[in-house]
Amino acid sequence: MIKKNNNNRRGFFLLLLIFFVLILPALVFSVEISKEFSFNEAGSLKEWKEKVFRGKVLYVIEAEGPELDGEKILLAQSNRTCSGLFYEVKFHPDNRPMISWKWKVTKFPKRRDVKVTESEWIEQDDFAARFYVIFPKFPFTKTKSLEYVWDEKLPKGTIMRSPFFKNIMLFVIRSGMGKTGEWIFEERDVYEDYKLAFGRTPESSVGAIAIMTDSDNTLSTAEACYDEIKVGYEKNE
Amino acid sequence: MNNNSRRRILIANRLHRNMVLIVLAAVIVPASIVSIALYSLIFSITAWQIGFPEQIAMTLLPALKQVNFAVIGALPICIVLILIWSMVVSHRILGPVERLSREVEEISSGKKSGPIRLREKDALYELAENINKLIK
Repeated sequence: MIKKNNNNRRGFFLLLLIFFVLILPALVFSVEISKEFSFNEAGSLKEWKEKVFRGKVLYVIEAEGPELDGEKILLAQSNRTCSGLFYEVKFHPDNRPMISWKWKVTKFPKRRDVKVTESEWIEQDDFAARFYVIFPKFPFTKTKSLEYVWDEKLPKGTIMRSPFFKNIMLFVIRSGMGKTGEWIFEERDVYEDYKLAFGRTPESSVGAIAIMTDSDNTLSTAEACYDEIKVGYEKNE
Repeated sequence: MNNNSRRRILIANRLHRNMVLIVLAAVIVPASIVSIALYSLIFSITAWQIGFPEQIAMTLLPALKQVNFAVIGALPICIVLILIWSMVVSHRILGPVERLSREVEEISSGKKSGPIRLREKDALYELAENINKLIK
């Protein structure tokens, strides 16, 4: 009888161990969260990783002018530089497909007119503001990305495959210089955008979002502001 | 059968073939698993560290292509070297086994009476010496 009790206890501890070692981490990592970034505090950027590619873009939290009553925003200033802010997040677009943000462009990089199919595009690959939604997959060559850009030349609504790689799809969601200096609110359904871009439903969760302002290829300057980024929420939330 | 018989590439046909396959599998399978795991892991981790899709496409994809070319070029050479090595290893073991078996058979059938001769460094040399003592 004592032996049986010992066996039961051992089995219980084994189950407990399996729970803590295997199941609990899996549960923790599978929790999907919506996330908001208001950039209200000076330390708001600590959560973001800066990836520097060709000189650092100045990403700083700054108070805005009277139109936002001194609210703090994220300001990005690029002077022939290229770096971006990257944030790891996890949500499956089946359930929580929405993302939104506000952005304002105050200076566009000096891009020449290039045809999107030309390799020349790569030499002119600078945008005042872009917002990435990344769907990581193993191996990394299967990772897919949606890239929302504000372009001064390409017409709004353009959806094109990036000349860099077939798994990057560009969405021109704002076009022209007409609204330079104005805050614009954007809201996207990444589930629908993914289907539109790749012709199928997302195969993996969203693993990261990123923002970038760059002007390294055009050797010019660019400036944009970002605020109120919200990702991974349901429609009409 | 003369001493040159040890120089044959395949000794005991099926046994030798099996042994070569075992050695090949023992080298190639773990090496492939480790290489593929490392290869995938290194590239995936690096891609995640880079983060931005265009930069991955510009830096990591060319590197991946170069590595793939190098692997494709080196793979046949590696396989041939492993094959040669497995032949040598299996030959060292099975050569004396085959010779011992043949000579014991010849002695038992009366075709030969002399001692069994193996090289001192051969596997089973001691067994051959003990058999020699037995048949003296």
